[in-house]
Amino acid sequence: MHSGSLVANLVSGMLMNRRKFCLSSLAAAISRAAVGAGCLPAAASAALPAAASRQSLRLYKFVYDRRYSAARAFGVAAEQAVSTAGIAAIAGDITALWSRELKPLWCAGAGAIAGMTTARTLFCLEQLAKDHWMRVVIRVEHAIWGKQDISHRLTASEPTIAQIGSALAAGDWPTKLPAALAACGFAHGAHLTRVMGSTCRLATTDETLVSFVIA
Amino acid sequence: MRLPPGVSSSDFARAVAEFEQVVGKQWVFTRDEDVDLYRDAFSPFLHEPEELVASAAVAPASTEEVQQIVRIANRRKVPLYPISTGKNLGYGGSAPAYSGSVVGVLKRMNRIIEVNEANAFALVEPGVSYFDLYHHIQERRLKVWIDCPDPGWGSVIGNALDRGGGYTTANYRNHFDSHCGMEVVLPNGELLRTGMGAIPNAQTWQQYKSGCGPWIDGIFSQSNFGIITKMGFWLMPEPEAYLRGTVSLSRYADLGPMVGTLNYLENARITAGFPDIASPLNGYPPIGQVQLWNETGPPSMTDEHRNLLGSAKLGYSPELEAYGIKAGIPYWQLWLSFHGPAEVIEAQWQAAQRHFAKIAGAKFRVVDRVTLPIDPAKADAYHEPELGVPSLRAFSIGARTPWNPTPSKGHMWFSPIVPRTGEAIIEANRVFSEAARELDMPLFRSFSMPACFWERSFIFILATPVTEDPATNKRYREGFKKLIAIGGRHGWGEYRTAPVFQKSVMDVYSFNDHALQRFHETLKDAIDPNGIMSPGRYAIWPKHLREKRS
Repeated sequence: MHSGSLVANLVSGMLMNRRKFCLSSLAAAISRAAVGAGCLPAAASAALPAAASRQSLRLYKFVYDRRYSAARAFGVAAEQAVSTAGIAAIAGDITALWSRELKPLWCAGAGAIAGMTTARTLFCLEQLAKDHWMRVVIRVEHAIWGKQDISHRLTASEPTIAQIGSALAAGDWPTKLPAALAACGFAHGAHLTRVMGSTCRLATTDETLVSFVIA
Repeated sequence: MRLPPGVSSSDFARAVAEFEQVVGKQWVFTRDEDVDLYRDAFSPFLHEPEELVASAAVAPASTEEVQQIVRIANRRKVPLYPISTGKNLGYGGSAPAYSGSVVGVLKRMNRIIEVNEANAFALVEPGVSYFDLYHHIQERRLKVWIDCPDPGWGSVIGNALDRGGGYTTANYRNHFDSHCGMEVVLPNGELLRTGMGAIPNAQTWQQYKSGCGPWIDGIFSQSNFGIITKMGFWLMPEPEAYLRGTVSLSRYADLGPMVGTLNYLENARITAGFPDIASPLNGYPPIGQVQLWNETGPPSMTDEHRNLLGSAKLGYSPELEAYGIKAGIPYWQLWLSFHGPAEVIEAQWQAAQRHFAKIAGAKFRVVDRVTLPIDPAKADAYHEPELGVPSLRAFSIGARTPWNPTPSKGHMWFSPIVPRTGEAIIEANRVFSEAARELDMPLFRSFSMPACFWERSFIFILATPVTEDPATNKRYREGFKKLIAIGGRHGWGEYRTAPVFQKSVMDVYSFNDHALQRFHETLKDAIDPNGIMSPGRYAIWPKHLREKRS
């Protein structure tokens, strides 16, 4: 991805709203050679009208941590979900995925992703996304408590909470989540947090996994 | 909209409008959800109202825009807090030292202006990360290495200005020391170039550091006297080969001679790679193996070994030492690395062994002999930064694992500098472990080893966790300040710290009734009379706030 050979035209993309672009197109890539070294700064989210209505979210990729069964189930379901997004399996470290794929796209204002990883991996992605004025727009922490139970701590806009909430209520929630995330619109504005209990524990680890969308 | 302290909403609105005229409306951020991106992800004030937060953020794209922003801030008396990419995690992140400041985000200034392969230097803007510079070099197949910290997502300039360090050779590990020339926007908006850059059409700005006359670069690091908009760095010519070996020693008393020998070899440049000291018998890994330990677990330990460790004092008991000798577990293990032509580094390794062989029972092992350049795809078999390759694997260290069942919500680095002697390692462990026990702090609970980022001194870098519990965080913050003061009484000081601790740290640097602090304040009053530049950073407050705080 860093050979400078990829990529299409998107110099004009720098002039359009980054978030709109990110949400409406996944085609984008940019000739880094055409813009010189380093990232192309993208237009900021602030250009969005404050009360923007929900926009469709086109995901570039689903990312999952193959070390965890729930995340693997998420990945298998993501591959089958009605979506144009690809999938990427990682094992904790996102250096390669980020530097080879995500960084060039994020520099160009593209590359919204969804995923299920550890909280630390999401922390890394979130910090890197900030460099491109992107952020976590949907976050679901799947915290295990007791012997069998999971609580889902869902932070998103209100309409999204309702949409994701039904997937989380399902017994096989990891397999339901990719389609729900892919179908979600993106609504600008305040986020709410809701905690949902679940008695279905698909994970076989004590690791707290997190599902998310970064756009 | 949040407001800077002492600035009316109408004045602030005018300032914001003027910022927007300079950079464009889309690059001025005032909505909470945008400004919150500049909170400190590891804030020790998690869930507390004292958390340091910005009022707004503005992202200029050029030096000229930075100058205009600074002039507006001066006119409107709006405090600015410039950041490069804001990755100073564990030391304050991207949050301002003075709550309500406007964060000046420089990440749009991301041009790599020059990488000179022939004389191994670079000139970059503050938004350039180690990854950016590394990829730029890789894409062009230039035969130079960067020296990067762990993780490598931060700004090359930002890390140097915060005096960060890396893992290659001694000439390059100290990132501020390896810089050469700066361009600075002063608090009045004037543009300054340091070193040879002060000569119009300078021919050696990145090749000779000090120019002529007072060399002022140092005052722009860990300070608030200007905004660096360009900075030069010396790079390492790509070495032909890499050799890593260990020196293992079996007796507690070998620590002093080991450090003394290392000092000689490093100061004589017989070894120049990152020296990494471990204590296998005390269960303390080398830094280069920490992420591997985290991913796969530490070496197994017998019950007998664990029990002996539990009863050891300052990492020692005769029984523990005898157990180590019997079980073949080194008390100390020094990892040495060498970069250069194969025949040269083999000779250096031979010379190093000859010197360490004066310590009875020293054992040697070659861990890696690598012909360079390495395939970047295979770099993860090593601690990547030691090969000049940036990585994000360091963040696996805090993950929840069977051997780390309760990961923290972040951390504050406690990082005192102590002398490069074996005695200092033991004395620092004695002083800080006693204090930490008394303060109920989770530091120095087992024998801890320092790191060798800098030549001629040691640095301990220990994480104090940030938790979900405000009461615990408060106790840790207070304990942290007391540890700083205790270190100061022993002549040790922190090398870098988060804003919440900057006053405590600078109070330690108190020779001659705080002459250094007064000098900083004299400079501040002269250079930044309105006090708009990063007020409070490293406890340098402008006069109007200083008087309020005293």
